[in-house]
Amino acid sequence: MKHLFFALIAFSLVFAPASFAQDVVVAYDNLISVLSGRHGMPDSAYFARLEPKSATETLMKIAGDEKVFPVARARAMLALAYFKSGEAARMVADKAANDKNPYMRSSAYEALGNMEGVNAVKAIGEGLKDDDVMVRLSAIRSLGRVGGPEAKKLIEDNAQVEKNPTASAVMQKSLEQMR
Amino acid sequence: MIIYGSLSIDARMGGGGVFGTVFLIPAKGSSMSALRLKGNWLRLRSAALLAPLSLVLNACGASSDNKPSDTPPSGVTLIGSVTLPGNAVKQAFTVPGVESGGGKVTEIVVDAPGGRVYVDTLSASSTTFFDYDYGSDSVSGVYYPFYRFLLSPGGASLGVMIPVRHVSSGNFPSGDYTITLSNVSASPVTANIYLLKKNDPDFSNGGITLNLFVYTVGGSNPVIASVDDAQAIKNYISNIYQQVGMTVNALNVEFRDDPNAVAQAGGSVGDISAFLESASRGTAGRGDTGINCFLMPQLGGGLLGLDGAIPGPGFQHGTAASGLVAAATSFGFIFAGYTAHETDQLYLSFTLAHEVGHYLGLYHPSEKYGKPHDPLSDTPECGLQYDTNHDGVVDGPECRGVNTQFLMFWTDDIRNGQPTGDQTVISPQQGEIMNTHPSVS
Repeated sequence: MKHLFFALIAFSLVFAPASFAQDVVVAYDNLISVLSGRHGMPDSAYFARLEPKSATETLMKIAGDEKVFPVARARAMLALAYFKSGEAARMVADKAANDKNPYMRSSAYEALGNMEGVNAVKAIGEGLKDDDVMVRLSAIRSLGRVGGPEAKKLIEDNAQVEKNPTASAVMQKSLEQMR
Repeated sequence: MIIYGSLSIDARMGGGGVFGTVFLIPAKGSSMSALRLKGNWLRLRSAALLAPLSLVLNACGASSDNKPSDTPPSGVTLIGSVTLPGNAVKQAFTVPGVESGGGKVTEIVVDAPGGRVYVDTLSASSTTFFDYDYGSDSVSGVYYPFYRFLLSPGGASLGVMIPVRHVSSGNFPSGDYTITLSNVSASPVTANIYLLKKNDPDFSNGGITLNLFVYTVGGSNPVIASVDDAQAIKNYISNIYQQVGMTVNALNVEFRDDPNAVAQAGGSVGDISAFLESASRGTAGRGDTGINCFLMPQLGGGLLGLDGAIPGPGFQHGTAASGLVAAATSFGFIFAGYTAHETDQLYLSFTLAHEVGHYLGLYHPSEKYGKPHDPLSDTPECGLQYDTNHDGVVDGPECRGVNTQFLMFWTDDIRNGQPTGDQTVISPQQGEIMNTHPSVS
């Protein structure tokens, strides 16, 4: 009996942290601050501690809040890749296509590739037609990371009409890496 | 193609501040916004006017030609090379001629291309300043907290300051030092060991030169597109650094049209690190004493800035850590009455001031996980006891009133969703570290 008691304690010590790990709820301004680090965004271990539903809702709210500095909004979209959510993916796709801020569209294409992979190739391909060259660059790189024949064809097709020399060169480089 | 030109800018700012004073973001229309060119100093060569894509501007009044030189800056000496066998086998090396005290500072720079090197011990006479035990992953030595990055096996180049700050010079004798190095990669590498020396009669003030390598997309960069933009960045940073007697004395600005670099820097953090190392190596042969800042129109993975080493290798160009990278990105945001373009400039200046702080030897007062803390007694610690939401991170609102006011705090403090803009403080001891670094003249 004594052995069983200690075994239960040992079991709880090993497994309890995992059960608590996803219980953390972070308030709005705190999460914006965490997302605003000077060097980069938190790693996956951080997001693994957060309660998924609350974290997803807060990240989506941050991403959509135009009063928030865009660095944190962009990183909120990137962070949503840690939480599998169709609603979040749709919101990020909408940001990519429609946000009036080019930086947000650019970041959304990066996030979309991370979240949806090959399923987002068509949506990311729309970014190759964006008026802003920084957005097109982000879409090119996102397609390059996702890879596959469909992504490659989109880059090849748009390479014919791309006028910006930097974007054109980055397209060629992506195509070389996709071979 | 790069065309060289020169431009002199008088950017000395009035005002200043004292420890604890908030002054990065001035009221719109204040003197800080009144940036002006002295027309009689303007010497823009005609060749530069003909090459809008590739223009080098030199903002140091004394300089007329910014072409990189094949001669290393005076004060850099290669004292020898040592083969590091790999797999963390230790190799001791005697470093002769270290000078410390009486205004003298020495930085030992270790550069091992292709290796992953850390310092195992640093000692002189009977004093051990730093001692890392690889087996137990423990650190000791009388100044070990100042040498935290020397055990980071992440890079091929590192700098070792002697003394760690000028007021400590009495504890660091001149003469021979012994440095024991290890290479944790599998293959042997050759480590070149250099000495950088500085002789400064007055550590209470100093100046730095910044080499801004501005990468463009289709010929322009969204944040630094003009002479006025470069000057604004210089003045914002100077205004922050004035509180510890430092100014940005000069800028060398070079616009680069390099699609490969733009493509690489837009990738993962690993890609950006590789870009930084490559770009830093590419500065070999420069003859100036500037800190190399690679400004990219986009960085991938949400990254804002990355520094090659803490501290960076003084005024030695061409090592893997001879520079830093920052995002010169247009965020499309209007902050505190500034235009979107001015907001971008402010944010870049803030990022650069922070990254250059690392390059000059500063750590974050407290890291985001509540530890470790920098080794200074005048930067309060925000440890895990402040982690009120138990997410394992000490963020801005949690550390407010403790140490968020510092330039080197790891993240933005946030009020109503926005940065407070008041995180600019540099403590006196942080200033001592900065003014000790060889890059500060």
